[in-house]
Amino acid sequence: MVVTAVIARLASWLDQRLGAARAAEAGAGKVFPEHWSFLLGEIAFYAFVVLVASGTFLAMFFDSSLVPITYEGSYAPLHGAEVTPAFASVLDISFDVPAGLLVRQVHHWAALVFVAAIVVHLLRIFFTGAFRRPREVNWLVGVTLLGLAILEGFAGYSLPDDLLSGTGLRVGYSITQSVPVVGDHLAFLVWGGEYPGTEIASRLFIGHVWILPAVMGALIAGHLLLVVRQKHTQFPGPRRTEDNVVGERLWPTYLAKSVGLLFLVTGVMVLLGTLFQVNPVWLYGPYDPAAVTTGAQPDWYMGWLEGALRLTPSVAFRGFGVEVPNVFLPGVLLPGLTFAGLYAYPFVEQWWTGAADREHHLLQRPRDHPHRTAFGVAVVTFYVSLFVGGSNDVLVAQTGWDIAVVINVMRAMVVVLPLVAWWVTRRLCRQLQADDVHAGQVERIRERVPDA
Amino acid sequence: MRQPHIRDRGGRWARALVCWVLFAATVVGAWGMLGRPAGARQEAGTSARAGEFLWQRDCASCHGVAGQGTRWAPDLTGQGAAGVSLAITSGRMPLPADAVGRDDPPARERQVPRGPVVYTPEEVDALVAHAGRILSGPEVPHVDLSTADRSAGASLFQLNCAACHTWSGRGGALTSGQVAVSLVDATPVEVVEAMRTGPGTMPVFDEATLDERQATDVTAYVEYLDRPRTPLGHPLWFIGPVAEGMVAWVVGLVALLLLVRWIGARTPAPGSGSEDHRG
Amino acid sequence: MAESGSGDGAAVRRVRRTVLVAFAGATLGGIGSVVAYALDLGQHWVGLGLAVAFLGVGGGLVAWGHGLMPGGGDVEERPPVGPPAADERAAGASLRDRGAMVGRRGLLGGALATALSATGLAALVPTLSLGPSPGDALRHTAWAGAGAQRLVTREGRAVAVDELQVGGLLTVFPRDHVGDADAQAVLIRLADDVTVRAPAEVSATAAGHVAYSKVCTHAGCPVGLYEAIEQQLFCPCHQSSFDVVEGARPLMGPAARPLPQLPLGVDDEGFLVATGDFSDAVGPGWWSRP
Repeated sequence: MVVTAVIARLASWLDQRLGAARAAEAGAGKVFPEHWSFLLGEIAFYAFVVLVASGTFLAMFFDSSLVPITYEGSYAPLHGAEVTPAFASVLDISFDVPAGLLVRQVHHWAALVFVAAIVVHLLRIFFTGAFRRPREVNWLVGVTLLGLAILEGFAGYSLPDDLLSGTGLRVGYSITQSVPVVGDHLAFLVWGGEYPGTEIASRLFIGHVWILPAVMGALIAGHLLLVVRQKHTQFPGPRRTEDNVVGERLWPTYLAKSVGLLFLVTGVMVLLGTLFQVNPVWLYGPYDPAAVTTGAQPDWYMGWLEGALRLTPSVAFRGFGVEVPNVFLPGVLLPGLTFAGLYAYPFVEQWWTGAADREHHLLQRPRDHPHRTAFGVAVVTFYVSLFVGGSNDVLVAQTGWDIAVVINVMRAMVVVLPLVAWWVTRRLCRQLQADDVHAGQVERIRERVPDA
Repeated sequence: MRQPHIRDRGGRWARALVCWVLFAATVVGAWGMLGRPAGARQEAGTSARAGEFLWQRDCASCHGVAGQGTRWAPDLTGQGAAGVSLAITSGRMPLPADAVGRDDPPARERQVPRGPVVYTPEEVDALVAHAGRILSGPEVPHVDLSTADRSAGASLFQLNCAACHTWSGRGGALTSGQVAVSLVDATPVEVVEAMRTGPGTMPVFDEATLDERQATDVTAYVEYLDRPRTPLGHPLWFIGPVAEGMVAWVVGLVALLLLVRWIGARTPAPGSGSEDHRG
Repeated sequence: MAESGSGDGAAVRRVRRTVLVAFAGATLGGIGSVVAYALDLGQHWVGLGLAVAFLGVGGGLVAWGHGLMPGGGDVEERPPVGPPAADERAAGASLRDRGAMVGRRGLLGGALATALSATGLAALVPTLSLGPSPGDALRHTAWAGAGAQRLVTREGRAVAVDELQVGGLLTVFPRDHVGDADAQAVLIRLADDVTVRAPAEVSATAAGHVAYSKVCTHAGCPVGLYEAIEQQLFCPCHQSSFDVVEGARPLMGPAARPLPQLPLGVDDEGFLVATGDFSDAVGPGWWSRP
């Protein structure tokens, strides 16, 4: 065929200049394990691709200025209202740019799914012990990507200068201000003066469309390069050992499936953007520092912080010439400890369990490590409980329960549920292990996993 | 009017039923008492008598003959015709007889949900007119939305209303187990009546806070929120980011997980060996 | 493309048909989306067509990979990532050898570290231009300094003593700073028989009116929700509530400090004025808050 001949000539032209054929051959022969859970990270990666593509489109129309103007676009209920160009341009994208609202909603849904996919990917890595040597470095890169994804999402959510995003920024300012010792200076530095100022949107815009995506892109490249260098982990199974990888080769089978997944992820995002409204800023209205709405939540990946802000008891330390503001605990200390714990986990577990310090390429089943699994489930339960606490007013509005009671019950839940989850999970793991013994499987497992 | 608060919404249907029974009894009773067909034209004098009669029968036992309040029900002084009109045109009053005596929580502290209206339009007019004669407070407002400025209303709604009723007017959480009601079913007149009288724990928004023009603007925006523009996709009940997060996980991520399970599922390709696969 | 096993018959034909249907659907979806865009048929159709196109291509590719391409079970050897234990010392030896030739690192290394620190500091210091130093900006609001200032609404209207009804509230600003984020205050008219109690200042009320900062002392949201019967201000962001009668003392939720009170008075023409700044720094705390 003509096409094939052209491709072949082009390939040899490139090979003569780059010596690419041998590298390509080695790369194309790379073996990928076939379990579906190895694709969770790819969902996140492809969501990132969708975000960059849709975000580029949106950036063409967005205007980050905060100097008030009169809205004259085609959304009639706000005609003549005093708004900022940031808000007005998002309304223009939503009502005046053909297919603009579609792209905006696809972008927002992709952001929500992006972080969700990262979290699920992280949980898979955690519960199967894939973070163990030699992959600690890639765990650190991945945790950094999670943190940056949350920041990137918050920055994007804050751009349209609507009532909810402005409220979120106000809380962000208060949290920045509660940073030990330099907090007030830091807040003035980031916002360019006292809240709200007129600088923050353009600064967030630069961060959102350039700095954070560039850093994330570089880290994602590094994340993938490390996977190539260290090769995939794999679940124990016939012929699978610590010294090999069993699965499909990149070319052609895995490539077809992976590119297929890129299209599927994009398709699902477009479908979500078509079928479900997201972030209707025209109904939230333009930001006004004196206005506020009940039911004000951030996007879900900030929900645990929102819950922590709501459930922290009424305490603020004052003495020795300093004040520790209330929001310091949920707003600075909690996320600080969360990410410190995530970064440190592989090393802490190694030190705590005294496990053999050698390379691990075969994955562990969660049930075979009841302590880690129970700890992980307890931590997840803790953050889910906080998230629920962050939506307490929505719950009360739907049920009519007494908010004071709801707050106190949720405070108790945040403490009690993780302990219950820990206990139940450990029992469940032991039970499952016992069932394995019953089924005579333990011998087979032992064969597969040397250190089980 | 300072409305009692009823917490449980579960009994709504039961109360609705009771209201209907009451409604039927009212019609029959009014027929017999007035000695002529309901709905027939009434002279001003008879209308006043009908209003007083209805007040004595349906309101006075709890709120007192002069609306001064009793241990079961709040003082209506200052609520005026507007307060009484709001309570009966939204079907919150009169309470069914069985709801009054229950003491936990006391009737005067309960929040009453909307219900069916138990009076005919003529009876509403008569009762409201009587209330206007015996109670101080605002008149029933005349609301004309034809010249209202919706965008001015949107801004005022944000500043004064959204804190309780949410950005979408769908209602929100208050303290002590109370909720700010959804404004979707409220008529324009009811919206202004509520502003002027501050039902329940709602603050009063009088002429000093929102003048007549501003009140009309806000009302126009509230009416718009009944069916706001949702150009693309299901609006997710106007709940906001919490519902969006649920959809991202339950619809978006679950769909993708099913898809990757499909991709990861081994279908033996022609010419390749099959292999046990587990996780 | 390695379509092995063309002789496998029915199974292969079925997969080929599936893939063809998927790609045909994608083509139609794509065309439909373009048509919908061009004819302005609505974003629903643009989106649905686009989604069908992407899902069709993706689904087709995956089905193709599943059914018509070489299956799994390939084995790739995995040499250890790190050096064998015995070679650990040997690894990178050449680097160390050449490094040794640099020689006398003590003094020069220290000097380099010092120079880099100074250079780095100098390079970073200009970022301080991003924002001014707070000074005492957080301690004062626009109510300070100008003597008695009338309270005005967001429309700029001054508030007369008898305007506000009992149970009503208004968001007010200093006359020259309407809309100001940290000077905003809520003005509430209490019933005539209600007097404020400590920690509220009785002398800071005027004609049954009391005013507090509208900026929550927890995380800075506007405390926009007033429950007239309970006489509580409630912050819809994080559910802190404040007792209006007792100096906006926090009752529930995370807030730990009362809302600062605005001292009120009445001027000669019967309008409400603020006689000074709030009783305390407004909004959330910071570490060096006075």
